[in-house]
Amino acid sequence: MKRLIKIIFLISLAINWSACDKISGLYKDLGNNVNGNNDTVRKVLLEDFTGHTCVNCPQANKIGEDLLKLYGKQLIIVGVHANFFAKPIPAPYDYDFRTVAGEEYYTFFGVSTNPIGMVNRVKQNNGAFLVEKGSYASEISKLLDSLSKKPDLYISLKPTFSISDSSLNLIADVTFLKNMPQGKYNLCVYITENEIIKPQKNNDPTLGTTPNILDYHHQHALRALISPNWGDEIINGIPTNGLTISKTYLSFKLGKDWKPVDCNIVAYIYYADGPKQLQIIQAQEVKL
Amino acid sequence: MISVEGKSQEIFGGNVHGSFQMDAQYYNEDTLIGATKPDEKMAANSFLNVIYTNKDFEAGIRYEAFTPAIMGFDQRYNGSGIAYRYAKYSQDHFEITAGNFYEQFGSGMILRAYQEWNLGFDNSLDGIRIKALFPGIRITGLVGKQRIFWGKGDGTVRGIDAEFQLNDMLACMKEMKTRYILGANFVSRYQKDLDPIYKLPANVGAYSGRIAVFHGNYNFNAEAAYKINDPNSSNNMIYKPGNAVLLSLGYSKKGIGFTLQAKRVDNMDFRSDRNATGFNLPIGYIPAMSTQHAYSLPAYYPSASQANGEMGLQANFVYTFKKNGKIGGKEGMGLSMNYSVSQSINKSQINDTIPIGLSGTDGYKSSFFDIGNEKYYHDFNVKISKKINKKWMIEFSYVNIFYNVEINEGHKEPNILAQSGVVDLWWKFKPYNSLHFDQEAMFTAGKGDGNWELSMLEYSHKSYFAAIIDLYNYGNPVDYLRLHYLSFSSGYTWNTSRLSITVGKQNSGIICIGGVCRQVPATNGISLSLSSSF
Repeated sequence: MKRLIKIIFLISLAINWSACDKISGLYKDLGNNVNGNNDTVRKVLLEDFTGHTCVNCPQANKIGEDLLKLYGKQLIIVGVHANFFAKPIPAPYDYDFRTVAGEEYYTFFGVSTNPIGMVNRVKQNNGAFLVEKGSYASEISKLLDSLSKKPDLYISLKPTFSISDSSLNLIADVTFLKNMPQGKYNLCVYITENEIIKPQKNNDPTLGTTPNILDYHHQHALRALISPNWGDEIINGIPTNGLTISKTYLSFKLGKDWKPVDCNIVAYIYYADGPKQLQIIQAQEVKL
Repeated sequence: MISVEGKSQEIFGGNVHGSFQMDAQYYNEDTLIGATKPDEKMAANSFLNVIYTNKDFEAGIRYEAFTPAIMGFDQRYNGSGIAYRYAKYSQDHFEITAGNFYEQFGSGMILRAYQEWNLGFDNSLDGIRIKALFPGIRITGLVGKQRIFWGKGDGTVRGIDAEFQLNDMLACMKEMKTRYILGANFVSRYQKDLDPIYKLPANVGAYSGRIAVFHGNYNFNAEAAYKINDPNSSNNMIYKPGNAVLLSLGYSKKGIGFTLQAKRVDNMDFRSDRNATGFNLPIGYIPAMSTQHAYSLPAYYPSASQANGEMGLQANFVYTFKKNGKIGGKEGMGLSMNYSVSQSINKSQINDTIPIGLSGTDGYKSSFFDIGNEKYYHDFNVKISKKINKKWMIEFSYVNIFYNVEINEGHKEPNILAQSGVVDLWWKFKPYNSLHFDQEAMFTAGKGDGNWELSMLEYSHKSYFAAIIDLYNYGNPVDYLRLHYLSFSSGYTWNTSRLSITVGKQNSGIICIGGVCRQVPATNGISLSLSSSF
């Protein structure tokens, strides 16, 4: 019996002691992105649910900025300010970042904590679309590694903006670059804004003052949808290689306090039905 | 009302037993107290546990339904299905479990898989567990993945624990009056590194050693744990190793007892998914070192364990004044006193250029005995229990709590000092009939909700009870929030089944069990609870 115990114990110890990885040298690798200006690449959309009174949200924003340095044009970020942590409260948090679409997404995707996000709205093993901020990098990496760099389709966005009445016209051309399965495909178009300087709660002293950063630079904030909240159906059938579908949006009015120079248009195509329903196939971002 | 006889059933020569529980709530909107109403208007958390045993074999399932989950529980639980199933057999010196299981190594610092229904917490493992049991020796090995809502966590957990009862193992120690128990364990998590920015350890190991000594009325327990570099979401991706120590010295004999406890925890948040936060996927468990109050107002500001940095002390003293003594009087008197305090650990910069806690670095330095300046919590409480005669009993409590809002709730607000007094009176006016009156008051300084008062009158008759409770936030700094939260509860127990119903308002707050806490939203409506076992 004693021999048996010894054997069990030693085997277990050997297996377990080997199960440790001590990392030495540089812990972080922030190489520059390798995509250059090539626009015909697969692009991933990270939707980050955030709020100005969410103390952990600056950490998520930092992760997003680090990932942008790494992936360049292959990554598009949208900050969805919605629900509890985005509600205006007495000054200095009296600005209302919320959007009708953001509130609908918050409820639909079952968000209950911030920060939390979605990477191309890919469904996770637990059946939810949401991933924790710490998983943003690995989910994006996993997704890009599992798919070819060449995208399934290309979205061309041609905005024309009139300064006189702050109105925007947009032509979106969607070109399929391969034959795709039969189904419904929707086009959704956001307008986002960078460099909105407003207060943000923060509990990470390495990112700024705590508990308030009064001049926080809010980036990629979802401002409104140019399309309906769940997009416009562009095809219900079999998209073939080379097929181009055009969609025009006219006379979208920018908000009074939006700075057009800091605004971007973000568009994406997603599966509107089938086994991958809601999953984003390709995204695009252009300056206004 | 549904009830089931409290007897197990015989099937195929084996025995079937189990339990059922349903907690349902019907919601009304009440904007004044912040109570909202879900679209469904009603929510229910339910489970049915069925266990079959036949000689050395055992198998069980637990069906759960969250239709939808009660407000305050994570809505990712919504849905229904078999959340827990296992088969187990014991033969000779081995016990083998396949499927889901709960387990704890030592105090649980590096492995504790458990369920707490009232918190909406379940981190059960799904895999294989083998136990080898010999006289004085118990070895447990396991491998599996942890539950997260209706799925499994990303990481794989492997672990081994060995416990040696020296007096039973060694002939030379058999007759010793002092008993010694030694234990050691090792747990490792595997999670693939897919992060394009950080170089992450795929295998993260943690180990601990423990000793327990029992001599006469004294007992001593110590456990120390260590975890290698584990950059994760909760420590802001720092690579510093973690460590923790728990110490406890106790003395107990008839009429008197004391316990002294100490703990130090540094960067020990250990999960099977390095990206998980909140309740999700903890492997290790850091026990709370403070009183878990049963009365409502003293429990209003509970302490939450801080796995990533905390030093704590607790002293507990109980004494019973003898019957027919000067102080004890005819029926005797009980006295208990407790003091616990929790403080930050001191952290200093690694060098002049790296701020404390910067991601992608070793984070900080911390000397083992260096206590930080920030107080997280303290609780001093004293309770006197006096049985006046066969019909009357009275209890007085005083509780003094310091509560660091940022640490315990995660948002920066002024700290709170809360002092509570409780008078609890029982009157058994005739056989099987009693009245219970509980009067509580809490006076607070700092931000918070201000002062509170609670009055409760309860009537009990054998298996039936009815109670009316008025919770009054008379000292709220905002005039229109000085509200009464009135509720009526009633319940009936029949054999092994119990039904209770509560109608009225419930204030928002936090409940903590063992240092793990959940926010409870304010509600106005009807709640119903049915539990039964067979």
